[in-house]
Amino acid sequence: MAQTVLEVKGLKKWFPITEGFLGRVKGYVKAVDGVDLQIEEGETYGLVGESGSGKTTVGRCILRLIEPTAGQIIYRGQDLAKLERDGLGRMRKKFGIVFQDPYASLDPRQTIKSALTEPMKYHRIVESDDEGLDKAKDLIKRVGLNEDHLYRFPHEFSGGQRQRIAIARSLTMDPDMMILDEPTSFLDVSVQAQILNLLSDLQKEFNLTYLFISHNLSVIEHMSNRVGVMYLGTIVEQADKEVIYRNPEHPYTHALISALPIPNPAITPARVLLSGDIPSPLNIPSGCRFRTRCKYATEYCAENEPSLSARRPSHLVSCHYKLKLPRPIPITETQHKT
Amino acid sequence: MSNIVQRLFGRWREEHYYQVKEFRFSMHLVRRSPLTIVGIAIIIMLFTIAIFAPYLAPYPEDAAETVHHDRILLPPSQEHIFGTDDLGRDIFSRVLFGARISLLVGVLVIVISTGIGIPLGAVAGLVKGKFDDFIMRTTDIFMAFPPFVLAMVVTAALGPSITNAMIAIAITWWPWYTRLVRAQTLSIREQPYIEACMAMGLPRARLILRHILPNCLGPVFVQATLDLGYTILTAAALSFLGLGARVPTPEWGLMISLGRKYLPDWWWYATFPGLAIMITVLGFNLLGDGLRDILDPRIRR
Amino acid sequence: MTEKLLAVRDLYVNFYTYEGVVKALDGVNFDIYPGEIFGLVGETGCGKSVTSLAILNLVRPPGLIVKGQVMFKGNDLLKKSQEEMRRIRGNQISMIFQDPRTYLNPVYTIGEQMTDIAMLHQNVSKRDAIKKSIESLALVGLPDPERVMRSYVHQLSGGMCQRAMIAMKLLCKPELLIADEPTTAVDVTIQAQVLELLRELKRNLLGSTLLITHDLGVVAELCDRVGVMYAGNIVELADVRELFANPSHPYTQGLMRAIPMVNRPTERLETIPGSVPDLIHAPSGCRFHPRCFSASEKCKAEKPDLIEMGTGHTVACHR
Repeated sequence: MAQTVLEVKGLKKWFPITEGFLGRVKGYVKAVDGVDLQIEEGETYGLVGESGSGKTTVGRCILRLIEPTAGQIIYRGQDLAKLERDGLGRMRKKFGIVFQDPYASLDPRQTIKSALTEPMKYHRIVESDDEGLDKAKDLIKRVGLNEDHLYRFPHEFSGGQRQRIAIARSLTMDPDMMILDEPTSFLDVSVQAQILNLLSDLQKEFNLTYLFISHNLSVIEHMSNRVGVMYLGTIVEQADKEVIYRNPEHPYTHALISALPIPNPAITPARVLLSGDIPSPLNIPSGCRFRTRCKYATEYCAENEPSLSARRPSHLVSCHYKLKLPRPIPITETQHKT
Repeated sequence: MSNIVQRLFGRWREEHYYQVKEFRFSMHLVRRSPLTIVGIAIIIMLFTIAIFAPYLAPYPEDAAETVHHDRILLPPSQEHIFGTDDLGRDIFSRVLFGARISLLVGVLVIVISTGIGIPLGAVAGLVKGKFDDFIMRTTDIFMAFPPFVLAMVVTAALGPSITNAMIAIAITWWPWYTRLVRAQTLSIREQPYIEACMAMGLPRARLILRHILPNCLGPVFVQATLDLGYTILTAAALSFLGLGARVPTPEWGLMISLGRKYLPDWWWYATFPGLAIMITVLGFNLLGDGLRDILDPRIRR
Repeated sequence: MTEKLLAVRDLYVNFYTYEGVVKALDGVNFDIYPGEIFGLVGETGCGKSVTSLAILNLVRPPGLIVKGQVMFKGNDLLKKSQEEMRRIRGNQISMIFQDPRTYLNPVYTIGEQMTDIAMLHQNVSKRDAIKKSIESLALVGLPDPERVMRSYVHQLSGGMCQRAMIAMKLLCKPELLIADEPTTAVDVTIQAQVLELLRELKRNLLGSTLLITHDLGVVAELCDRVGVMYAGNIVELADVRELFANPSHPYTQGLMRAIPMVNRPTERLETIPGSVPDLIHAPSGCRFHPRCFSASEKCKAEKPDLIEMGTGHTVACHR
């Protein structure tokens, strides 16, 4: 039985909107509005959603880069939400984080060597400068770059290379878990493939657990073991990857997956088009959040908010009705030649 | 022996390979902009004059309280390139010594303003909240006065002297730096690399000193360079009005003030100090503009 | 044999920078026929955006169109004056961009911007311009077009902005619409709506579209013919079905293998070794040869031309 590395319960992050110069609170942007999830050791949990879903905020709340409004963040039994500054600093070295924008995630004034050795020195993982340098050299080679790249500055490198450096940096602290926030969104396809392969290799080598946040459904499908789909601040469906992509039960998940463009002109997509746009997190619809765009919505949906319930042991859905939805992605016998 | 030197140098070159390349690129940019070169030339000349004034001036004693009744108001000639003033003093020498005063004033004012402004701005941008509001309202108050009027009021209150003029100008100048640094800090702290450092558990103090501040300083540099020119101008203006330097200091503004009544017949008295001010401010402006061009778009190559 | 709408021949574009001459486009050749959607696929830096700028003769210093022709309905656009081009841009050839919010003017309402364009290019009265604008907005599927006309950019959502921008560009019924990464900056569900819209428009309007993208899925769904670009060259050109069934250029093959696809589970994605070349010191001969698994001496020496492989399927490779 695999150990649960991270458990999030009831995570909420509400951003207050103030008006006037006395700071009267006018309303809240409910970016994250009640999220529960568990991640087991060694697995990759894919958190998927569009803009406004709150997935990025969840990632940041876990590390308390943004302070959660409510909820528990239990890492191997310890609630991170309750830690004081020192304890938090020490806990942070168990987490690696890789951000979306390779061009802004490295300090432009710092050499790569300095960027890699700084966390090691601060957390006293190494005793001396030489040891730190050795470890930095090791890591930079492990992610596919050369030793002499250590003396260069970030803007000498391409996007893909910078992400490798960011990955190396997060490995300097021998982390247990990595939070990957859209690590390949800004990269080209061929570079993306290299980075994803690297991440898979590293996961096996160092026995890492990944929280992979992305809006790219194909990448999530490739990398994850289990997937959670977020909409407007909550998880609407969570299951093993195959289930989500073949037999989703929540209408949003279904629409999302059917919207994927398929790189095969022989297949005509069975697309479910959602009406309207994503509502603003300032004005979340009453009852079920998704009802304003849902084909199957009823009056009951407008008045009562569904909760995430287990339909099967590992399949959680947040919907009042047990919908039988067609396969979102049609398959044919002819796969194209590769 | 030279082998070791070569190896050391080689290693230095390798480690700083990138900085060398960047430096070369900056030089290239400078070369492409003739105006910047002019600016740099003026500034170098100015600093040289200021440092070596006693050796360059043909009549160094004229910079102080001397009178030569036999040489009053002589037009520009070979012995007196800029002519002499109403006390027979060589204007050229006085202008050279004036460079010392002006530059000193300029540099000190900038140092004081940035010394106050940068830390305040950085703290305001980082801490936000009520402290930030307080600082911002204070800067608003100071900035509401036309800088010159404020300087005048302060010197009038403290009494005319170069030192008081410096204090007055510094008081009017610091808010601009605070605002500048605050704006920079606010934008930098949102950057992912700062978040990354926080995510790795680095403490706040280290974050500020080693990551945020160094990235702020670019525009501050540019602003400081431009401001050097303007502070010199303001100091000269204050002296012109009698609120700054006092007789017999060879301050440019003061010289213009005294020489005014001799226009237009004995034009050299007021004109040459005026030209000196103009060239100085021009030099700093050109340099500042050039710096701005070098520092900004080149990063977006 | 239908008359070509657009024929790009031997297009060479250079950018002159401090570090050297960037040979952005190295001899680009392709045609677009009326009524089709032609896709230009490639990764960053391959030159697809530069190509679209060159077609509109919008290449500015330090860039320079060194050689080549862009024949639009028989006339070479590169030889026209800026004044003549201005009459063509927005009118006969229109362009939509990646991020609609930054490409629309925030201080004017949508209605004002659209009527400006209509009046400018079509010489109609203001009332007619308003009518045409409303028609156009309805055509792109915006409910309540009158309200959109009165709105400012920040009052509309991302999806609505994208549609409004498409409506704006379609006002003058251009014969060629250049769409530069129209689905990259939007969410998946909105992207689906935009794709559906473009498909419908193709059916109704009979104009052609040059679709520039790096997303092979979008290409598969929308395009009729496709050109694959790499480092300033078109390396493969074919009908869309043919391209996906028989990718012949090693780069195309590598690209297809590198995409994670939902229907094709793999442990590891196949990658193309190396990285995109520096266009200042571009590889000699075939620009792809350093990364190609079947490169030969000839590939290093000679740049391959587009060779006909099957009906309408051309490949630039020596094999």
